[in-house]
Amino acid sequence: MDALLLIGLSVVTTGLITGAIFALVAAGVTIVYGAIWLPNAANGQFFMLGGLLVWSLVTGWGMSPLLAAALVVAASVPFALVLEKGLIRYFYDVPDRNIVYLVVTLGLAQIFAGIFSSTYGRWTDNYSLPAAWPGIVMIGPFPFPKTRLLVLSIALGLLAGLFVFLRLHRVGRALRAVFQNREAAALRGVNVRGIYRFAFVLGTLVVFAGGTLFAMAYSFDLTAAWSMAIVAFAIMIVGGPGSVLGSVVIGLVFGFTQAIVSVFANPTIATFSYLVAMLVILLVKPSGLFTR
Amino acid sequence: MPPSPRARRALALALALAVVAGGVLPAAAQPRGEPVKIGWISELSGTWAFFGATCFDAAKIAEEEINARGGVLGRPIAVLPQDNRTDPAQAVAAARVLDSQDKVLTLSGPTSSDTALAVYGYAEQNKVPFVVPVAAFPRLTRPGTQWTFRVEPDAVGWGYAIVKFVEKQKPGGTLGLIYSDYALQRAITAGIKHQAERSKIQVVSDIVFPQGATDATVQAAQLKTRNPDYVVVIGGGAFDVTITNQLLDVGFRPAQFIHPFGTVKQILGWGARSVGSYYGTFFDHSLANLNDYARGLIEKFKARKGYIPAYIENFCYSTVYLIKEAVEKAGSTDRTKFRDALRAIDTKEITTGIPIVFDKNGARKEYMYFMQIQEVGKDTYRSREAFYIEWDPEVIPVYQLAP
Amino acid sequence: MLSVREVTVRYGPFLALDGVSLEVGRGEIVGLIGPNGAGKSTLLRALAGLVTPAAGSIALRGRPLAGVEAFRRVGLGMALVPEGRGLFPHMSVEENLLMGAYAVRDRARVRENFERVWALFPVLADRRRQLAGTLSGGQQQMLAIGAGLMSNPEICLFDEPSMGLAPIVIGEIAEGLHRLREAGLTVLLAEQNAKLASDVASRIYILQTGRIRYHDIPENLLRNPEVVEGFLSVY
Repeated sequence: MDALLLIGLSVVTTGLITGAIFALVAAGVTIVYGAIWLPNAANGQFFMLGGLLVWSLVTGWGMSPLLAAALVVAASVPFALVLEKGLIRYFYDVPDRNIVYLVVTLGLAQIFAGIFSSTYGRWTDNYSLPAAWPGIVMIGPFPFPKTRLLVLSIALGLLAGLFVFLRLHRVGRALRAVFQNREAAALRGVNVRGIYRFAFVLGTLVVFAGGTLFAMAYSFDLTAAWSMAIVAFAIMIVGGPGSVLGSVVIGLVFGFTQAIVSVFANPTIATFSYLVAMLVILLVKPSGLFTR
Repeated sequence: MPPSPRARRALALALALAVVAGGVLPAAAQPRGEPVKIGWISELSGTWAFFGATCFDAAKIAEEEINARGGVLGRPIAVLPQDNRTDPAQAVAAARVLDSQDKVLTLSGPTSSDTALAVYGYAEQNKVPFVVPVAAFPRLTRPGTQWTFRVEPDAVGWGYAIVKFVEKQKPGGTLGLIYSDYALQRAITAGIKHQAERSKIQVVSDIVFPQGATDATVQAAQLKTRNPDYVVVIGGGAFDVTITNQLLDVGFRPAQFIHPFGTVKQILGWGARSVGSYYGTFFDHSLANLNDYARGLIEKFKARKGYIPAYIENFCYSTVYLIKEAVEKAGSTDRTKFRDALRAIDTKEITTGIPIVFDKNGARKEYMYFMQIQEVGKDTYRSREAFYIEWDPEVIPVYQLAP
Repeated sequence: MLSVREVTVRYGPFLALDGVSLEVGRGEIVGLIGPNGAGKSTLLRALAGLVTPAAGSIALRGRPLAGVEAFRRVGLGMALVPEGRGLFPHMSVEENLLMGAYAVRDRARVRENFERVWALFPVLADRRRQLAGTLSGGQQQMLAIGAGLMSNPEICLFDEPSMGLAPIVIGEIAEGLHRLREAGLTVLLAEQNAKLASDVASRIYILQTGRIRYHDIPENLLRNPEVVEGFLSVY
């Protein structure tokens, strides 16, 4: 009985924590795509950059992981602004810009991947942070590291905050208005280009937050960038491009699918199980489950 | 044969004098003429850059030392690097450049089996000697191999050694395997499963993760319910640390862990929580049998790179010395004579004195240390030798177990 | 209030508007009728800042609008209810109206505007939580007009509010427009439905192939057989 409970609780915590991180990254990607039609192929590298910078601050300067994460997330704002000003905004009015953006961001992803592999990659294949909150809390028979509890709380808190912001705040509503009908938004007095910039910054910030939380919860290496990029796109498409609610729900569904399947099958099947889930959902509802 | 410590001190004194006198007189020991070239095809970028770069740095130390002590056959030795970007096709291209343009005596350098196998194909076909410093696929010394010699023991053999270690620690014990799906991990676990039957060790759990997996909580909980005496943990890259932590989280004791290999950064990554766990290795700064070369390597490497070297660095360092010794034995830089000298070599590793002998396929007389972690600090660790084993490369059918 | 001088708009080689001039005075409802493709929508879009005229000038309360982006014109008192209604289908009625008040920062003012819209189209109040995309066509049009009013506009530009609606629903819309006139709102109403336009407008411009052909009060236009024949045959 205890064995069953132990495994059951491990499934719940794993589903929640991987799901919440999936959801955060997918939410960042979907905000940018919904507003600008920019499928950011470099999102995995942004995610990685967040994690690597935290790792540098913690191991190089001895900073506490939480402080480092806060600094890195804050630094994502100027990072995104510079990128927007220097690159992204030039394609706002290009016809078929989603394809243009895919190509541009694939290029960015290659550049970042190259930079990482020739800098960080030469140092190690193994980035691990000390526990942000050392110790273990027992949930029944299941020992749950406090750091992961912290990561889970922050991730869920951020998702809730994001959700409330988009529902209730004036700017959040304007962002959703731009998702749905950008010309109509302009006719309501919304500075659409301003919202584009804001969406890019917000989406990037959320992806960075996902990367820093991931780095706190797991040891990681540079391969995490591509797998996260693919998962984020899959979640966005299944959840409905532009839908943050869709990202959250599907992110958690993917996280739990993976955790549950790995009990009954093996981890390899588990990793691909959510891709099967994706195909099934898309066959039933090709436009994705949720709307903007 | 490496010179005795006394001879070396004398040589060092002579060198120091030569340096002092260098302004007036040409140094007597200065090697001259066309260098003896080693084509070093290495992972200086790409996914294995952390291995390739550190390996190359160690090889450079050996090159400098050798040249400072008169070179080889009175000529300087030159390690010519080519970046293979962790890409087999690029590795072949690099081999071609080094062979036909630079006319190197021998190829060396790869630290991954994929790139090493690519170079292997080129070397065997074009009859270029190839000394593999770090790569563990058995195939690199498959029967019929003529030109390739491998310094690192093969991975299936490590599996054999791990079971022998468990057998010594707890006869009739149980073992859990948890690892990522890479060819290296497959080879090690093939060796473990093969030998476990013969050693009466029961494998109670065999959990494989796909590449790119990030979480092992559920599997850790499952493994805990089986409660094996020892767990062999071989995650790919950073996932290794994640698995280790998550197994510790669910209540495994460090002394139940066996990591087949431990680079410095891995050990530091496992951290203080892992004090008491075991790892296999081929060289470690905590070993008791280190000589002056080993201590010199450790000091120089630490001064240059800021961290202590382990088995990767030692393989690359001692490979350059091995090549030097074979050139001296051959008495020339003829490729065939050099190859024959390697075949016939019966020497000791420059840093630790353990034997280096190759079998007919170029596989080394194999060996492994098992260390127990005693202490992990911020940038260093200390461990203690728990077990040492040597074996014949074909003690188990390695070429069938990992085709 | 609104003064348009010799405005020309080109879409590539196609001349959509050719030197159009018109005036809308304060508190006036002016009709703009013409067949499909005459340039009505283009003119309204030019006024709202969604297309840039090649020549000519537009001034709102004497202030030239050249170079003023569409979203800034909302703050200056211009509200376009575009063809196709310009709603946010996945937002509720209430949220659509809140978006209409995006440029209004004074909360008390927003509440007042809500009351005005609820009074004008009570059906919207009953459906305030319903998603805009699930409303009927007439309710969507009411919502579109309501959202336009939420920004406290000096002048409202309505682009074909009757389009695609059943006659009985058009009657409801017309009633709404009458009430807006009574309330003193300034409106430029582009319509293919000449009956609706002549019913509510005090003056009418007739646009054909990008040029103003006639301009008069509805009564006079209805007496002109040429106009009736050419433009008001739907009557």
